[in-house]
Amino acid sequence: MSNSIVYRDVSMTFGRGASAVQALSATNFGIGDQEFLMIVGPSGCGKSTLLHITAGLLRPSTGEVLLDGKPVTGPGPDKALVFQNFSLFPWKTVWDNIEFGLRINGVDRADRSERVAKYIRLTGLAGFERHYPRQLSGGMQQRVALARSFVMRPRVLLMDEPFAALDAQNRTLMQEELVRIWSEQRAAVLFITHAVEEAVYLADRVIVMSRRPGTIKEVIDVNAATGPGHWRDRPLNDVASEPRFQELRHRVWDSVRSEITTHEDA
Amino acid sequence: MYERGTTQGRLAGAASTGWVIVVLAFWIAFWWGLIVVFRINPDFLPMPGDVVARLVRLATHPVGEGPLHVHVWASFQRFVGGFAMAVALGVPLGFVMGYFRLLDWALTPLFELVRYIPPIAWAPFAILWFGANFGAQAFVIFISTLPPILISAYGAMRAVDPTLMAAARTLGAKPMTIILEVGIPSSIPVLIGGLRIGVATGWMALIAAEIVAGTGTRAGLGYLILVGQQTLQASTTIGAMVLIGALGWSFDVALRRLERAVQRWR
Ligand SMILES: Nc1ncnc2c1ncn2[C@@H]1O[C@H](COP(=O)(O)OP(=O)(O)OP(=O)(O)O)[C@@H](O)[C@H]1O
Ligand SMILES: [Mg+2]
Repeated sequence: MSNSIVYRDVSMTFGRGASAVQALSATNFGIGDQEFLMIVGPSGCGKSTLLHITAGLLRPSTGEVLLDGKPVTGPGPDKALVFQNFSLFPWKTVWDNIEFGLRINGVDRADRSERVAKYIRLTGLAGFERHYPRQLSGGMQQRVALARSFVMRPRVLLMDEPFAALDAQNRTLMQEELVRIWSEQRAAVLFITHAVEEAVYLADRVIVMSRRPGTIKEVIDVNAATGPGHWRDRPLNDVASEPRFQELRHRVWDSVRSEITTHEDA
Repeated sequence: MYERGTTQGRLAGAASTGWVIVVLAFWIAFWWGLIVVFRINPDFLPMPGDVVARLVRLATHPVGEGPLHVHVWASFQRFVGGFAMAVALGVPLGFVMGYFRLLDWALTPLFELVRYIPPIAWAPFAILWFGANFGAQAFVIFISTLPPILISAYGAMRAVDPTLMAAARTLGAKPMTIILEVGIPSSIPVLIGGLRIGVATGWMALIAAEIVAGTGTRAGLGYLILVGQQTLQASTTIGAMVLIGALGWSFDVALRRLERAVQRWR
């Protein structure tokens, strides 16, 4: 499997001198070409930091991130980021929010309309094109955020706890939609979550990060456990009762918990 | 989540306009009663009716350079000229200062100082540089409205939600696009607040400038006040004052309308 993203000695320290906080210690890792990678880890361990470095919004203190062999020097539409709080433009309609990235990158009008319409359809937003974000429910706003990123056909899709604000039902629906859109598009996905079940259900591999300064503690290969038919291709409800799924969920959860407990002892 | 223009909202709006008329009528009656009860000399404080009669007469009989509308138009032109220049310079400069640190450091101390210089203090220089005419008066408006407009544009840009800017950057937006497409829309409420302050200061500064420097042109509402003083016609002075108040108020009403019109997404 070829790598889309490679981390080479990436670390991050905020501030200087006495007030310096090391958020991320040297990280080396590779993400597969069309891999669905989930990241779990204790709060404050540097997950968001890693994601923002990958997006090019933050410059790492040491090391570099390579995207298809080229160093990441700044943000751009090939590395779409979905924020936890949606971050939609409140003064733009659903349509204009989704179209924004295409328009500023000079995609011509006909092509734009076609692509925006496609993702509006895929995310089930048809009929709401002229609505403003404040007129939508949280779940629908999250769909707009997803569509706004997907429509760019990014090389990697970076998601920072994208479903944390959703209720259980909406979360399940969004997971299914995400998998459906991703399987059409086949970008690499780097997805942060606090929900261990979500991680095991969606991932090709789950990365467990250690407490701050975070680094990759353990990599759990979900694909190896599921075999050919991946869990995410079936409803979560059916999968959740399978012994192998439960076993893996426990394993990830224990790994995360040991980081939280040692943290509290310290 | 709620729609604008509910019955309640409209009632409140209508009531306030009606209320203004009722209250004004009361105070005019009070003014009239005061003169009748205390038998005040009309040269000292004219009757409301005399003021109206004077305004009607001014509307048809020229004073200085022409009848009333010439004076209103003269003041309006100077005001709009100076104000438009202040907007044209202050808004873009404020936005750019809010986005780029270096300009901020270089210019902010200057404006912090200039904003405390009373506009009329510029009159001697304005006359020296431009002569006692349109240029001098427009300059006084310009210099008095620039600081509030610029500072509000600057503050508005500083207050833009950083995650919205980050979202735009990850979609491929460059600094100018971010200022135009994220900065401006999200700063409109603050900006219009600044414009309203600018209108108030500028309009007052204009009248002062016309009284101090307006005799060169023999036109304008400030000039009418001067005429009233020199010819001992208190009704002319008060008539001009009433018009100044009414025009200033209507500018503000127009800006509030604009504010609502451009913010349909709220
Ligand atoms: N801009 C910053 N300046 C200083 N410190 C920062 C900054 N951003 C993050 N940190 C610190 O770096 C550490 C890691 O932060 P980060 O947001 O990456 O954690 P996280 O794993 O995403 O946590 P959570 O699960 O709570 O979102 C934290 O201790 C945080 O306080
Ligand atoms: Mg985080």
